[in-house]
Amino acid sequence: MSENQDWMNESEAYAVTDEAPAHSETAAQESEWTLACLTIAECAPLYEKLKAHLNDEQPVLLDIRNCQEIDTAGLQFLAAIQNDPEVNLRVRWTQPSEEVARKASRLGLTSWIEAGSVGAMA
Amino acid sequence: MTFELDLDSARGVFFAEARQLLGEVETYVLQLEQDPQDSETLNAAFRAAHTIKGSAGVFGLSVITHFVHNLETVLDRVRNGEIGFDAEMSTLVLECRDHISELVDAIENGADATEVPAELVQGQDALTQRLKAYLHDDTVNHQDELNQVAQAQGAQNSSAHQGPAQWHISLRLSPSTLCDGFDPAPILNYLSAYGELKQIVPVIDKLPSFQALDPELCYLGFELTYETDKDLAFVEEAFEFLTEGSSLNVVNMHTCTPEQWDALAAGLPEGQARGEELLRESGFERPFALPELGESVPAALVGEVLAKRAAAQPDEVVSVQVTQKKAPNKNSAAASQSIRVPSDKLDTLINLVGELVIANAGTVEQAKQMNNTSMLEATSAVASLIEEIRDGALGLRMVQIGETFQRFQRVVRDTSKSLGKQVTLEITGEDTELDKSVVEKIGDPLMHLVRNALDHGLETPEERAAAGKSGTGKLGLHAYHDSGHIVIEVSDNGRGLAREKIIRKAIEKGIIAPDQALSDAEVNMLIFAPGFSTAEQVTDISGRGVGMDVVKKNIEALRGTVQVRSQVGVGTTFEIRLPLTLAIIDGFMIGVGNEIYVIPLGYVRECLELPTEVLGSDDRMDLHYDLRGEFLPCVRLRKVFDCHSGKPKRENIIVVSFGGVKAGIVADQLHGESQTVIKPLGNIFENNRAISGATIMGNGNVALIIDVPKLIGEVVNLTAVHSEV
Repeated sequence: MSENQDWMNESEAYAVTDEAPAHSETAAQESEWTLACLTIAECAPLYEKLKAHLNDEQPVLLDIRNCQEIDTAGLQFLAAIQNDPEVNLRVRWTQPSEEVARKASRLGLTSWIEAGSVGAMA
Repeated sequence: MTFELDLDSARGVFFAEARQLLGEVETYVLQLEQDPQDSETLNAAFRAAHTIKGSAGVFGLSVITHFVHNLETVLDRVRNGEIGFDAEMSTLVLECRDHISELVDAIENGADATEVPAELVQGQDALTQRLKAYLHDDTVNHQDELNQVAQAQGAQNSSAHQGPAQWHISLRLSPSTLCDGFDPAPILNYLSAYGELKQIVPVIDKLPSFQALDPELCYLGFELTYETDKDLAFVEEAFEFLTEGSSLNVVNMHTCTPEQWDALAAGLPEGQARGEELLRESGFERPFALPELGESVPAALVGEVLAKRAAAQPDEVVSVQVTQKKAPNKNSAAASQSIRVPSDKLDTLINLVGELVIANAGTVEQAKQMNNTSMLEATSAVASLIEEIRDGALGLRMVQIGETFQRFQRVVRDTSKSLGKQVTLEITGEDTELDKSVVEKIGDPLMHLVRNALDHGLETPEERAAAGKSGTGKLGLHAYHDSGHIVIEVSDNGRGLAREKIIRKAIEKGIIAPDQALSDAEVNMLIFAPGFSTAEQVTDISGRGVGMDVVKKNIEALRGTVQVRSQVGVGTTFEIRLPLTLAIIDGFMIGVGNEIYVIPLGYVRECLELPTEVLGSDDRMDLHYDLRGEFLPCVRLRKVFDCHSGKPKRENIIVVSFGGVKAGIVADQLHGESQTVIKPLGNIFENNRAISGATIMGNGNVALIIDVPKLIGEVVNLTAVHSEV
C-alpha cells in the first residue's frame, strides 16, 4: 500500500473542483471530485475525506469517467456508498470509465455501479 | 496493472513457492531416474508442475503458464503410461525445470511476464520443440491462447465426461483479503481463461453502513456458476492464494443431490434461507428429490454429510467447507500450519532477545550486589524464562540442512555424467537443523567440496576397476550434532590425498620449506593454502586452485572449522564444524588478572583447581597436567593475553574439548555460566589467535570470547613439536 501511495499523489487521485458539473441536473451545491484511480491505497483517504464532507451535508459527485485503475476494494467502496440509503442520495458518480465498467462486470457489481451513476438516474 | 501493484507481496510468495516447487520437481526427477515406474513420484512431479502453472496463471504470468503447460502435458502422458520415462526425458524435464527457474528469476527482476525474455527465447524454443515430440498431435498447437489449450484438453478428456462440467462455487473472503494484497478479480479472470463464468453473484450481506465501513477490509463473497472441462482440483487450486479465514465450497452442479444442495445452503454463513436464495439467484436450483435420498440434513452436519458423499462417490461431492485454502498436495497439511515471516523480522526479534539477555544480566548483577534473596529468586525465574524465549527465538531461525543437501543430487548427477564417472550420492542427517544464515552461507563451500570430490577425489570406472573397487563411486553428505556444533561431512571413497604429491606441490609453490617436517594432518591442510592445486589438468569443474582457500575462509567466517581425513586408495572426508547459531551462546565466564573472558559452554567438559605443586614459579609458562592418568596439554591465558597483574594464589584448569581433542585452559578465577550475546569484533582483532568475539556483560563491561578451536589447535601443535623434539 505504501508503494501505491508513493506513486499515486493524492491530489492526482482526486481533485476537488467544487464546480457544478455540466452533466449534473440537480447538483447546484454539489462538489465534484475527479478520481483518476480508486484502488485500496486511495480508499481510506477518500473515505475520511468523504465522511468529513458529508458531515457538512454537502452532496458529492465522484467523476469516474476517466478512472484508469480500480480494484476490488474500490468497487466495494462504491458498492458500500450505494448500499447505504443515508449516503447514496448525497454521493453519486458519473458514468464509469471503460476500466471501471469492465472490472465491475468481472465481479458482478455492474448493477451497483450503474445504480449510483448520475446517468442512470437521469 | 492495479493487480500487479496490489499483489506485489503475494507475487513474492509465488516466486518463493515456485522455487520450492521447482526444487521438488528436480528431486522427483532424480528419484524417477532410479525408479521410472514410481507412480507416486510421477504424480508428485506432475502436481508440482501443475501448481506452478496454476499459480502463475493467477498472477497473470502467462509466459510461465504457457511453457509449463507443455511440460505438464508431457508429465501427464508419462503418468498415464502413454509414454515412458527414460534418460532423455529426465534430462529434458530437468532442463525445462532450469528454464522455468530462469523465467521466474527474470520476471522477479522486472521482466515482462507476458513475453519470453530475449536471452531465453532460443532456449525456450528448443525445449518446446523437444517437448512437442512427446505430445499428441491434437495438443501440439500451443501458439494461441489458453482457451484453445483448455479445449484440447477437454477433447482429450471427453470420453470420461459428458460435455463440460458446471461447478457451483461459493466463496466468502476473509476480512483481511484486500489489505493482505489479494484480489479476487484476477482469479476470476484466470477461471475465465479456462471456461465460462456463467453467473457471478456478489454477496454483500456483510457490507456495513458507510459510517461503519473500514474501506480496507473485505466484506464480499461470491456465488459463481462456472462451466469448464477442468476438474475439481483445477477449480480449487485457482483459489489457492486465498488468505486464512476465507471459505470455499465447490460443487458439481450436474451430480449434486438435493441433500447436498440443502447442506450447501445451510452451510453458507448467511443462513439456510438466505443461502437458498443466493444459490437460486446464481442459477443453481435445488435438484429434484430422489425418493431414496429424501432424508433431511441437519445444518450442523454439512461437512460430515458432504464428506460422506465424497467417500461414496468421489466425483459427486467435490468439496466440504474449506476454512483455509491450500494446494491439495501431500505437503498441504504441513504448509497450512506454517506461516512465512520475512527474515529481517526474525533478525530484529533475535537482536531484541539479545538485548533482553544483556539487560537481564544487569538485573542479576544488581540483585547479587544488593544480596537480596527474594530479588535473586525473582531474577532467576526471569532468567529462566528469558532462556526459554532465547531458545525459542533462535529456533525460529533454524532450518533443516536437507534442502541444501538435496540440491547436490543434481550437481552429482550432471557433474559425474560430464566427467564420465559413475557416482551415487548418500545423504544422512537431512533433518539436522542449523541457523538459516549459516545454511545460506554454507552452500557455496559445500558446492566446491562436492565438485572437488567428484573431479579429483573419485576415479573413473576404469581406474576404480584397476584398483579393485566397484565401478560406482560413493559421495557422502552427512550432518549431525556434536558438542553444540553441527558437523557436516563431505566424504568420498575415491583415491584419497596423495601426501608426496601435495608436499612436492607445496614446495614448488613455496608454501612450505623443502626440509619442513609435517604431520599427515598438516599435509592434508595444505590443500587449503591459497593458490594450491595438484590437478594435472585445469578443468571447468574445479582445479584452478582458487577455491579451497576460499572454502576455508568462508567456513571460518561462520566461526566454523574444516578438517580433512584421508587415506590413500580408501577416500577422503572433509569435516566442517559449524556453530548452531551466530547470535547467542551459553558461555562460561572466567577471570584472568582483572579481565573477564567467556568460553563457549559447549566446549567445557570440567573445571579443576590447579594444585599448587604444579603451578611452578613461572605463571606464564604453558604446562601439562595429568588428568586422571590422561595427558592434558594446557595453555595459560596469562601468557596468551600477556597479563602482568599480580600472580594469583591459586589457578584453575578449564578442561575443554574440540573435535575429539582435549586441552586445558588455565585461568585465575571461575565466574560461572552466563548467556552470552555475541558481538563481532572489528578488523583490528582479525589476526588474534585466541579471540572469536566479544560480549557485553550485565555491568556494561566488555568480555572477550575465547576461540577454543584455535587455542586447542595451538596447544596440540606445540605438543606435537615438543614431542618431535
